[in-house]
Amino acid sequence: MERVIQFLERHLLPVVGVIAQQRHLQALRDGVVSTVPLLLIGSFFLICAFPPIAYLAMLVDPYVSALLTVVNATFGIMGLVASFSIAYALAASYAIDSLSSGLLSVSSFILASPFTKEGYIDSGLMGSKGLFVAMIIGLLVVEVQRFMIKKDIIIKMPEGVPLSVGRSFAVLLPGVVILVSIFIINVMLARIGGGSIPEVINRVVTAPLLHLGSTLPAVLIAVFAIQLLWFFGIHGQALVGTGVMAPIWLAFTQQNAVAKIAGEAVPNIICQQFIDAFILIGGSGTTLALAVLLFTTVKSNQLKALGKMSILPGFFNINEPITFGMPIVMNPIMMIPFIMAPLLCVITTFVFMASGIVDKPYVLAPWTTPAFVSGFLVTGDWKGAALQVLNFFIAGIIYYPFLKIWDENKVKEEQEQMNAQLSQGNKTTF
Amino acid sequence: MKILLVCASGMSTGLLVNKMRKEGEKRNILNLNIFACSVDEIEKYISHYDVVLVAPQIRYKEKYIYALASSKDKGYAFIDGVHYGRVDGNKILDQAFGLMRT
Repeated sequence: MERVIQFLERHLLPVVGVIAQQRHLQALRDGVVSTVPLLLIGSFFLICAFPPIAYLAMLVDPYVSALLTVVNATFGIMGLVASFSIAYALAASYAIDSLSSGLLSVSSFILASPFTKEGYIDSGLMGSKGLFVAMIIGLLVVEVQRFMIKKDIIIKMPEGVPLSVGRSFAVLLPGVVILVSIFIINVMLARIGGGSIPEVINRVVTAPLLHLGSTLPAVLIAVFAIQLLWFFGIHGQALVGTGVMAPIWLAFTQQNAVAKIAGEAVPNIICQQFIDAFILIGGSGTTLALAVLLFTTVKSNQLKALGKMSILPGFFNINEPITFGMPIVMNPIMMIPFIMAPLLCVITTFVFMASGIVDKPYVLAPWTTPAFVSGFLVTGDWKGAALQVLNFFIAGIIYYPFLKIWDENKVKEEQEQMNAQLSQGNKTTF
Repeated sequence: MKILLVCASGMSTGLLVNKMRKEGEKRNILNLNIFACSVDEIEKYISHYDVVLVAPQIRYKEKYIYALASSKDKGYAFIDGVHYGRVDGNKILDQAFGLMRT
């Protein structure tokens, strides 16, 4: 066991570090995650438009379409916003003028998205359908810009011209190259009848990726990776959850909200809320149950103190006191339930939603929203809260035997310390 | 003394801020300024603080933090996992003062 751990620490962690600091992945993550505040605001109006209580729903009925304008202006333009923020984040990491990169990327994104027959911007392409288009265009725009700056293919202003004027000229040539290239691709695609850039990207990239991301094994692997990293004391959720999976999970979140607005059935089980509300109950590892057990059942003084300290943060899904204080990090005994509990919760949640017993989530709530509230909030279904209770108990049952073993170890340790202190005390008195 | 605490989202270091402030009051330290932020915001804040203490769970970002802290000539260190788990304001405040002296 120890050898396995050593091996993983020596070979896995450096790889993780490289992935986490990879510039393009980081820009994608920062760019996509920057849309979350908008989605949260949109979610608030989404709840108002579709309150989960029948009487309230009747009251707001006349105002539904007015309320949904806010949802359209948040969820509806997720891709458009990301096209700006992804390019902005990548340019900032290269110390290129990030504002002009962001603006150029928005313009490229709009140019790549075909207008409707009536000559309007196609709002259907501005949301999650445009998200992966925005990701590819955002990164490409900045790379072309960087290449041209590196090769010195830019218009330079003589000295004495204000810096901001010089910068705006520096973006001109790359801007022309990028926009003209997209224009040419548009024309060529239309000629060969291949559709549009978003269609091609959706067929080649988005559809397979989302199909893969929506499967149960994909979530199990992602959650397993998150837990394993945490076992090494590394923030797996930030690395894998936000770092790699967020664009996919948030795209599903957006699709669900859009379906709800359109009055269609909510399509995706897997989405950001699936993880936040049903798996991370108490934090990574579904540790709220463990916090409650620590608070109520342990005999060791050290663990009792930990229980008092960890229960309140646990309700807000913060569990570093437990992961580092118990500790779970590098603790082979606690590692087993720490990995098992969330994986089982993934399966129960998936099964209950796939069978239609519990409604699929469509509202996004902040990840710090306490469990038992968040389940109801995100699904609009009281059974969502019930499912959280079920997951809470499953996690508790899995943690309990391992906690008992660890507690006995700790009690022994404390007694030995006491004895050692006592015998030392005796020596000094004699 | 201005201390910047950094973790993934500024939440769990947020727990630590209060503990460290209380510890500072106990020791009668005046002008103790402690702030928690996420690692994504560190560039925004680092100039305004004397030392940076980083939560252990983001040690995979060490290269980045090292480069940033040394370019701004700030002392930085990772917080010990056990101290972090116990939210041990006492020990972590010691660590911050240790960074000041060197």
